[in-house]
Amino acid sequence: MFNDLTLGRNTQQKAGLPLGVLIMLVLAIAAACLFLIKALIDFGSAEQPLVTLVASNLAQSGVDNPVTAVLLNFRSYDTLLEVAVLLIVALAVMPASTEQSKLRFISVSVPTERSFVLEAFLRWLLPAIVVTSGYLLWTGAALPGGAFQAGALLAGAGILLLLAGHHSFNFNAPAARLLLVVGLAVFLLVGAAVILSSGIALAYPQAWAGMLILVIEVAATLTIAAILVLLFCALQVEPPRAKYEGPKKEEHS
Amino acid sequence: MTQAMLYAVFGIVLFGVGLFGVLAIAHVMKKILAINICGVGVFMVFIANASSGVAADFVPHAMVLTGIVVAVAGTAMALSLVVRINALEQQEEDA
Repeated sequence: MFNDLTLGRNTQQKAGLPLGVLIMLVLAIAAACLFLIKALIDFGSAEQPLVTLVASNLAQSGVDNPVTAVLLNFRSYDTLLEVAVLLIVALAVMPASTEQSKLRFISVSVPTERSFVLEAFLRWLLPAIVVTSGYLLWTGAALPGGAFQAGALLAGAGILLLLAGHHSFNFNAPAARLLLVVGLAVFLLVGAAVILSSGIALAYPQAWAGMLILVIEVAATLTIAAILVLLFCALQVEPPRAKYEGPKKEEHS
Repeated sequence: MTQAMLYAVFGIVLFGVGLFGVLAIAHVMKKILAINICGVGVFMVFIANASSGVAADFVPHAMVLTGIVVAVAGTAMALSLVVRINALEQQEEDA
């Protein structure tokens, strides 16, 4: 459906740039790249004060994995804003109508085209994905892993479930909305609550840091998984002519 | 030239390829892909530079992890705008 999709409405814009402009563009970009590469080589290996800073403060962070420590303790504002960005995008792509908000989050039906291989495979795969996701979440405290990897894996499970066709998600349901905001809400709550003990937002007290990071990560994992599945759902477009046949009424709940 | 330097140089090349795509291609989906290629180039430079010192620097690793998620969100946002534009154009043609 996107075969001929350009922003320009007239044919001249659709045809693209003339050859001379393209050659100029290639030359300009090549020159810029060469300049950047030269700057990179001249720069050499810089001092990295952050390496020693992270290493010397790792014991206070509550986790043993330096990446997790940076993500959720030393630079937790980044991660907080990242979850907020995800929520904003989720709000932007959500279906605008709220008439489905009474329906259930997950509805089950028998699809018109069944894919038996995928169905049989899913019975084995889904539990394994959920367990692996939980493992990644837990192991993020000490080894590579964490909320994002676990959330992405869970979202993969959700998308596989969608592709099998038996389940459909309704992200206007109250349970789904809760899932979409729980990550940011818990992050903000914890970040604000630690003001009581340390006086600074998002500066966890050392004794509780590991626990608080785990709580935030569990909530963030659920939210990231839910939002990624929502993005997939929202971008599944019906064929262009099909949508004028009137709204589909599906009441499985 | 070390291995990390090679990765960084090719990150810059990827960024250039993506930049060309953004500027020269009129097709919106390909433009979005090109922006993603740009982003991957930036991530590669970041990661390659993080490992060029004595020990790996973890702050760029964490920032790239954040960046990947934001790039996915941005791509989804752009794609939903494309879907909307497509629907509006379809409406216009039908009218």
